[in-house]
Amino acid sequence: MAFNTGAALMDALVLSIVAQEPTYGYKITQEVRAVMVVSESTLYPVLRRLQKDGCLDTYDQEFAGRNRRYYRLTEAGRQRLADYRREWRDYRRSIDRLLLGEEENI
Amino acid sequence: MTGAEFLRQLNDMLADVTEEERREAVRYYEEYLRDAGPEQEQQVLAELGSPARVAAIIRANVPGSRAEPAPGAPAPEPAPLRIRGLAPDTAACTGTDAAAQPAPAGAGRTMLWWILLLVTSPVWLSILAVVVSALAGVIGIFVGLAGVLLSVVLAGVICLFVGGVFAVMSLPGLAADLPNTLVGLANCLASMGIGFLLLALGWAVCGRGIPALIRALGRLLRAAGQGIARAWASLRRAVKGGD
Repeated sequence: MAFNTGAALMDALVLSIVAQEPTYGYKITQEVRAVMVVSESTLYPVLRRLQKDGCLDTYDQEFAGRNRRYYRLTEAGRQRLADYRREWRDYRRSIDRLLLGEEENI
Repeated sequence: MTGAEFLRQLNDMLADVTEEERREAVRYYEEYLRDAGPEQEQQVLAELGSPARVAAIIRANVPGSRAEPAPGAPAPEPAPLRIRGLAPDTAACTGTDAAAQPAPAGAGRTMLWWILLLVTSPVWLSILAVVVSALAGVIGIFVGLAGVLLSVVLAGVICLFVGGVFAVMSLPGLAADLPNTLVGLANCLASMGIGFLLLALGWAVCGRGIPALIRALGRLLRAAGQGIARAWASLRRAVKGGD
């Protein structure tokens, strides 16, 4: 059995990856795929949606003789990420309490 | 299929989305394939799936991408996301991405309550058992007291009856053996006196003791009820605070 995880967690992971440093689509996809079973074609709509929501913006930077598109966090994205991190802690605590019991101190 | 073919077909498949979204998407995948490198290209293309599938995922998941209502079958949902290092879903669970469709908060909360109720059942079931046995104990005491009372009254009645009967039976012996008969008669009268005393005791207990006992029982039950209500309220608060 595996735990299905929702779109919100995916958004949160993407924002968190981009928060470390501005980076590009392929790298973001690989980092998400390192922890989650997710198709390569799933990430583009996530990035595009976060961009449209104003959480990410893009800039082009030359790399190996071509322009590479980088994603970076906006102020709104920073706020959204902070919200996601808080919600994740609450969610994780609730799940831990039910799944692992009270004696488990996390 | 080569990367260039993939991009061209993707561009064709996105004919029904806005010009801007089509350009963005094709540019993204062009760059994606370059960043993956030529040696990874086939593997990435296989992983991405057909251009039609990629286009459908874009149409379904990029808001505002549709220039006009998409014709034909509903677009495929992206596969449910799973945490790495865990085995794939069992068949029963495949394709249900519950978290993607947020359930009403009320339903989730109710569900959480039921789960909590189930998980904590060892605690509250034992508390319930204690309360029930305490109640049974109190009722037992009550029944026991009633039994004692009944036997006191019964003893009184028997003493009265036996004393009276023997007194009447000894009357003919008065002339034959006066001293012994008098002693016997005194015994009978004493027995009847004890019977009266016991009946009076029973009367007193019925008139005053039982109402007092019922009042005490009522107070006890009320106090227990309030205690349980308080414990429940603080449990609720603790759960709410932890959400």
